Amino acid sequence: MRFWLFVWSLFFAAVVHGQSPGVSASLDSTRMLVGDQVWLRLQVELPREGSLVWPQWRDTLTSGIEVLRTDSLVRRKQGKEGVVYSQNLLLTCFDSGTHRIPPQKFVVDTDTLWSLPLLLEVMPVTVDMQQGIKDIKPLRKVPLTFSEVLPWAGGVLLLLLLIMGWRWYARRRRRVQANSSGPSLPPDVLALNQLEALRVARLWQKGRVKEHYTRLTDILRQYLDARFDISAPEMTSEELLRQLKKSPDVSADWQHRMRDLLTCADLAKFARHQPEPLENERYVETVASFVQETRRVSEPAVPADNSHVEGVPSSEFVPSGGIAPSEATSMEGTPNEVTGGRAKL
Amino acid sequence: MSDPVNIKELNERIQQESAFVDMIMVEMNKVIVGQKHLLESLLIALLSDGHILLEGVPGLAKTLAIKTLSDTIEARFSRIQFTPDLLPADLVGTMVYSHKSEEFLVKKGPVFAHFVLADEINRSPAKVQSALLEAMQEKQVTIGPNTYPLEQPFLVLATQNPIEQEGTYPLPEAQVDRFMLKVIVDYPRKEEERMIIRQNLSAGTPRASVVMNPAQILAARELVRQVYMDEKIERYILDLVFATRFPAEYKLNKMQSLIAFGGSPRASICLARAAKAYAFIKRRGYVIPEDVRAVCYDVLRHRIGMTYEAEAENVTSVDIITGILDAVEVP
Repeated sequence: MRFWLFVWSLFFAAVVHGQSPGVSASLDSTRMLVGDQVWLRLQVELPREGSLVWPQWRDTLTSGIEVLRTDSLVRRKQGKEGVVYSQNLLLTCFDSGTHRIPPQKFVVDTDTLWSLPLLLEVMPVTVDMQQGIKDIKPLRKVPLTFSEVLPWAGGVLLLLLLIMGWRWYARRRRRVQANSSGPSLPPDVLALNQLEALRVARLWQKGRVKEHYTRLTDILRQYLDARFDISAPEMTSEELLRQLKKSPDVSADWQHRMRDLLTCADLAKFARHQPEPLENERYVETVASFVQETRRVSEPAVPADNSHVEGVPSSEFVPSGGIAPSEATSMEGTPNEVTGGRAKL
Repeated sequence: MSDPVNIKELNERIQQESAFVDMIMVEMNKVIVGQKHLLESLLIALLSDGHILLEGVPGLAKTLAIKTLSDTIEARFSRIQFTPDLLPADLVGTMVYSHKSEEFLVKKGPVFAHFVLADEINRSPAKVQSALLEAMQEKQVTIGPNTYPLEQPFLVLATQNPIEQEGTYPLPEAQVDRFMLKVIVDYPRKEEERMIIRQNLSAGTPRASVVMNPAQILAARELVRQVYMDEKIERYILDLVFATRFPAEYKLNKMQSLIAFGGSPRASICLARAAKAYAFIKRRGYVIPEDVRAVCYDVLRHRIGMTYEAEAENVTSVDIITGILDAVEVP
């Protein structure tokens, strides 16, 4: 009987021992070079589910041993009721020598358990003095990641979108402006229409000589601006004549006639001069002839579209004593008189 | 048509009575070689009752031109060399105690003359400049308890040097504005300078003869006042001056940030008066846009304030005036 009691006690003791919590700590290597990394594995086995207080580390495990990474705590079942908790810590050390990893404290229900202490031997790098001194290694380039490139790519894309948007807006605005202003008339047609309107207005006949010459010179200046690309509206008569003198398309005779016209106009505008009626008519014809003779060859013949000018008959404007549009057209047709796309005077 | 001004008659009268202009120019050309613009500007100031400020490097005959002009007119001329230790009393005069009469007597200063040459005006402190500039504006001087009107014509011709700014007192904007014209005197051309050398090496310095007297100048000024200025020219003058104040209204948006302040109403008045005088010199009884443009730079260049931005970009008031003349439509 005593024998069976002894055997039974041995068996019971083994069962009791197998149901108590167990703690283990292990290194994947107990030796490493300075700066190398080693994994520490901590494990707690519980016979059944209960409360467990796991130790926490920041960046240092103990003096000289740094924690580079702490994996998440892993829980898995063992047997029928048993539970195993484990965690891996990546350690490194930059001091050579033997370092002691102290026991780690775990609290299971009301019991306190300690892991066994571990030794980690950190070896210095052996320097081969025979090979001489070597240069410092250059900085290692880290390849760009997508997250680094993304903000720049987004910025460039946004800029491109803005530029395209602005161009679209500008083009649209130009189109709207062009549509609102309507098709522009060639400068000679416009000038002849305006001259006809001036003639119809009969300003000098009504005693408004100054206004007549103001409008006449304005028509001339606008034509010169559009046809010869000189900013005639901002020029005085003398400056205008100097510019005409430089133009190869304006003959000496025309320069002389323009001087007469502008001098008379200045007198009428600024000195209350009253030119003779014949002069008033002659200068309108002078401007009309000048326009017809200096108009661009590529432009269509002069049939003046007077329909948009108030009070102007739609008939073709032929200044008395001047050159009729039909004559001007026939002049352009002569190849010898056309040079560089402009009528030769 | 009612016409209170008979321009034809005025034109003929001016053609006759402006003959002295040629005489003065001939006499001045005896002494001064070239510098046509300078001589014309002096005549404009003389005929339009305005004062003139000449700016140029030393040796360009600024002082000589002024002195020669005074030689052609039988009038009292005085020259004041502005120095740092000059006092207002040295200029306008002071009261001196007489032991003999046992009373204070007024001793009039050099400002009591028809032509006052203020040489290197920026070498004297502000109090002296103010004393002269007050006389220029009010045409009278107060010494002690009495006020004395200055003789007519009274013309101040000042010079200043754009270099050597150490120890100078630049004229404040408000005081510069009182000069009708600011003329920049430039170097003569090569051919002109050759003649200057020859003239100076030859024996005997040429001297200008007297052509006019003060009364004739006052009469000529009256005639200049009568020169006809059409309302179109008036509008053109206003446009030019307003463009210096509100450039954006004349499609000169770029100038907005370059101009600190534009021309004052005095600028408009001076532009009109100078244009009339220029028309008179050209023997015309009416003003044309060319006249306005001819005097525009001299009238406006010292009346436009430039911003720091303009200075940083090396933009001058002359550039601004050129831009305005190119943008404002001529009547």
